[in-house]
Amino acid sequence: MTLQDRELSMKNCMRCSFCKWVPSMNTEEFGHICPSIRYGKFHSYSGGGKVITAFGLMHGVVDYDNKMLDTVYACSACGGCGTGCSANLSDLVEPMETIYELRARIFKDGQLPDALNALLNNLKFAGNPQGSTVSRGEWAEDLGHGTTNDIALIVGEAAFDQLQWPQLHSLVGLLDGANADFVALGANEVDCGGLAYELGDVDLATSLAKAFLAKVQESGARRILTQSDAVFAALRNYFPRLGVDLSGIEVIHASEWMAEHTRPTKSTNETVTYHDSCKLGRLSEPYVPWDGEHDTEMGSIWVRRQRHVKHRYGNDGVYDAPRKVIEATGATIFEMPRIREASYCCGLNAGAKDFNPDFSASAAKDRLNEALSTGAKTMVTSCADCACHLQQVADREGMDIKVSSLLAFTQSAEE
Amino acid sequence: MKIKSDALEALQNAVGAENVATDLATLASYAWNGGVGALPGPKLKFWPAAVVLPGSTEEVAAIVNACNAHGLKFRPLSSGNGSMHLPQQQGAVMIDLVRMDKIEKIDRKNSMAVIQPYATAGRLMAEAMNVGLTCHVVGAGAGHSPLASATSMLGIGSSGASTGTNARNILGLEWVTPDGEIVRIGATGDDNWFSEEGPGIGFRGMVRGYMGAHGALGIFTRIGYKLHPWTGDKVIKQTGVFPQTGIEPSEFARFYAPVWDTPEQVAQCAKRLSRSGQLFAFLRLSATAYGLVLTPTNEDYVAQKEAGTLPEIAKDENRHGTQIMTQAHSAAQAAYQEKLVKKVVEDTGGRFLDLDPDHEKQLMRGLVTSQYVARVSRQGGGGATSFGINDSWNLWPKALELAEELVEADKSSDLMCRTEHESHWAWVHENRQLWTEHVMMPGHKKPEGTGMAIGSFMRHLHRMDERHLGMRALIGGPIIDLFQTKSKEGVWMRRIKNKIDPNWNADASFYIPPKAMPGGRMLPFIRRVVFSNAMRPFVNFILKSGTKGAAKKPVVPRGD
Ligand SMILES: Cc1cc2nc3c(=O)[nH]c(=O)nc-3n(C[C@H](O)[C@H](O)[C@H](O)COP(=O)(O)OP(=O)(O)OC[C@H]3O[C@@H](n4cnc5c(N)ncnc54)[C@H](O)[C@@H]3O)c2cc1C
Ligand code: SF4
Ligand code: SF4
Repeated sequence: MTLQDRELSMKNCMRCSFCKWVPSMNTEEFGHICPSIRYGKFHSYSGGGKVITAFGLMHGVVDYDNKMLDTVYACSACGGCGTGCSANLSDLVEPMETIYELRARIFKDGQLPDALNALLNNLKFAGNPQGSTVSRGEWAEDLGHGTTNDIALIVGEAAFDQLQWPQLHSLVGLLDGANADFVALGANEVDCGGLAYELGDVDLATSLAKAFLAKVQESGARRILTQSDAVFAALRNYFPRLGVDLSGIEVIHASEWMAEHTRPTKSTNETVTYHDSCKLGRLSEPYVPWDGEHDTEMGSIWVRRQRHVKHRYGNDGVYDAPRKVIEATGATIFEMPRIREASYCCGLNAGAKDFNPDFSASAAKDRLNEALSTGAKTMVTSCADCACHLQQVADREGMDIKVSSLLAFTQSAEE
Repeated sequence: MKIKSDALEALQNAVGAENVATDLATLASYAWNGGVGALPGPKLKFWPAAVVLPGSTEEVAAIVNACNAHGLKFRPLSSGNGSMHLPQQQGAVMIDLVRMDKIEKIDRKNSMAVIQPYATAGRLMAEAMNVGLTCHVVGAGAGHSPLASATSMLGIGSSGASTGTNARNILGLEWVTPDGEIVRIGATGDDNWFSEEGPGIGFRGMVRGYMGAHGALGIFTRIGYKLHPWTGDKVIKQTGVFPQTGIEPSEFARFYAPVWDTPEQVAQCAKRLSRSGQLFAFLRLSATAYGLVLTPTNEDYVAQKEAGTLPEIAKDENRHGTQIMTQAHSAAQAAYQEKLVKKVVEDTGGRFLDLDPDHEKQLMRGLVTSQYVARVSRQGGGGATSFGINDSWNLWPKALELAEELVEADKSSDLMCRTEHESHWAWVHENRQLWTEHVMMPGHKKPEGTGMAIGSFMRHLHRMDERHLGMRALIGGPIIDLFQTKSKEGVWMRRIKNKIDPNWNADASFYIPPKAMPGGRMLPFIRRVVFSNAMRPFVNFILKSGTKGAAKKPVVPRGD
């Protein structure tokens, strides 16, 4: 799909601002769903505002300048606007779909900001967005690298972060302990292309996705298991958009596997709160490709031409499994006001932190305040990257809270 | 129109450079001609010169002064829902009050709050429910501004039986006049009560009026706002799977879906229950609206409609029905309310539909939060237009009859969304009156649908006058003159505007134009001819061609 293909949907935008708010507001303070508008305040920062920008750009009446680029990229492509809008309008507008196409258009026009271009260059030349010189396979050097009849373990960018290696090893330990037939792809793993897609470089994203799939196929795996929320979302949501068919290979998140196959060895009576990362949550809702065309029925009612395609509301992400894993340790979860499909993003995603660290920090601070409002002193999230970002902001702001990835939490619970 | 550098500097001095935007992307998002209030024509037509975000009343006054000094028109917006804040001219300064977002206080004892413009209804409701109160919420839902609604634009919502109407929920006002003066009137809390209405013309009535002045009389920056009793949970418990979310009724809340054979019976019931003062909400939707609320997508709606599997309440044969919600303070009151509703419904010849409990919960959520109102727009993919009647329930059968006639007349066209008989929403408001509006939805197929809807809208207004169907709402701008009644509202509005804003500094696009429409005394006659049945094909042709032509017009770049 291109920006042009989305023109009718753009025109449907009613500027009603449902894309700024959670669909069910139960506190005064934590009602926003969009960190971008919360940060930027001008309507152009909202999902609906980006739709209008896209429309203006397409018609040649909006031009590139720093402010315009800030409204687009001080945004973590978190999908909150899509959920908010669809609460009433289902597929009428789909702001998130336009945001993807807007980003692709900006990339094509050669207007991607330098900080984001640098990430793409790193992806091309170093195989990872941060340009890390750690070799991808190092974390798994001691593991076998043959083939498998069942599971390919994919770890995403955690391979480059030595602080995450103990958690990766603990996951390997759990798989071993459950006698799983698995292989860690290690040095054979290829970036899945998710970030490239989010930054609008669809060609790079497609070639990475294809290379990724080829490596998985080489391993003989029937299932992909990953602890990386970013990889998980890319496989379920972006691959179908890129036309890369996983050919029947099932994708499971580590939390789902753990909820089904593992029992924690040690218990805790801690009280924690749980942050639904966008990528394990609403952004992991499977995308079913469709032609984007609408018909009218019963006179003038707008309906999808391909009727069977399920609309994405964000409620088909993975929400229960990580909670089960946490609760199995004996910990009690105090829920935040914004959870599941209405979760509030930490502000890290889609290059947002590299492009505008202030935006990213403001989102994280909001989320941390919300976590503290529950009374919990620990926040657990499935995503190690969110955890790291949130902890950094908490430390900088002097907020009394510990943020832990799910794997780190279960590991410490087991110790 | 690009803003001159000295004017820009003045605005920046007023609020800080970071709170002024002149980039095209931001200007475009304040020029978007879409949703409620959108007019035929391109999506981007009238570009503002700048958008400013004041953080305080003093900053609002400073912006107004800067605009006046540099000859710039200005227009405020609080949440900016739809297109009602759009000036119909190039180069105005948009004053977005998003930074003024505080709920300053909730005064439980006096059942009121003091709120700023961007304290949205959802946030206020969540805070108020914590102390056993709730607020009026209009159809725009959780994201709209109660301050904007109460001070400046209509303000009728479906829980109106118990939460009133926003024009009367204002208790105090802080106002920046069009010449930059800050004025405070009325009550904002415990110890400063006095009545702002005295003998003679009420000041609140003057600046607020019936429809609201749409920013044409200056900018309201804070209000004392009436809250209403809420006996439900402090935090509403959600049920169901998004987006079909419902609320778990509290112990003393009850929901009913009665139906009758005739609209007269509905009106009888509404009148008797209103008199009891026991209603939380009494809302009648059209069958189509129920269908859209109770299905997540249009595909689901169409499939269920075709298969005949829509819930009973969404079937046309049950259209003489309503939803009733009560809430009590005690078990004894709840028992009384149950007995009362059953007796009145039976006495008036009604029977109760047996609804799926999930549907009941979804409908209750709509009654409490107005969440689902926007869903009706989903069918057409564009703005809707409706007229409103605010009067006695005795007029309800006649209002239905009029809508049916007009729907029937346009039925052969598929340019508007199809409805079996009519698309009236109606509710009890202020526990005594009828509020009803007939929603005309332009279809998605062709832009001419908007022309048809406009034609139908105008004919509604005209026939309402002819048949004495009560006070009408939902009109503003130039058509005020066309539909002026004997009380000469257009003349009064112009007088008030001239007195408060003699230089017409504040944009008045949705209030009243400076000069009356030509035609003067001939207008009622002209109207009778134009809106007669004989002229219908001709008028429809003109409106359809006009809207088709307007839709073809290219978007307008900002002229620099
Ligand atoms: C789906 C939908 C359903 C709706 N249903 C209803 C309904 O049932 N009942 C109803 O009453 N309305 C309804 N509306 C319209 C609604 O009234 C307005 O959108 C809302 O009440 C006004 O709040 P706002 O924050 O959106 O106003 P804005 O769009 O910000 O402003 C509305 C008008 O008031 C002016 N204004 C805003 N703030 C100020 C201020 N501080 N001082 C002076 N002037 C100001 C603006 O210039 C504009 O003319 C609906 C809208 C939508 C989108
Ligand atoms: S994107 Fe959707 S929710 Fe946002 S303003 Fe547009 S229509 Fe409303
Ligand atoms: S993707 Fe997230 S941050 Fe970006 S506009 Fe939508 S809700 Fe806001």
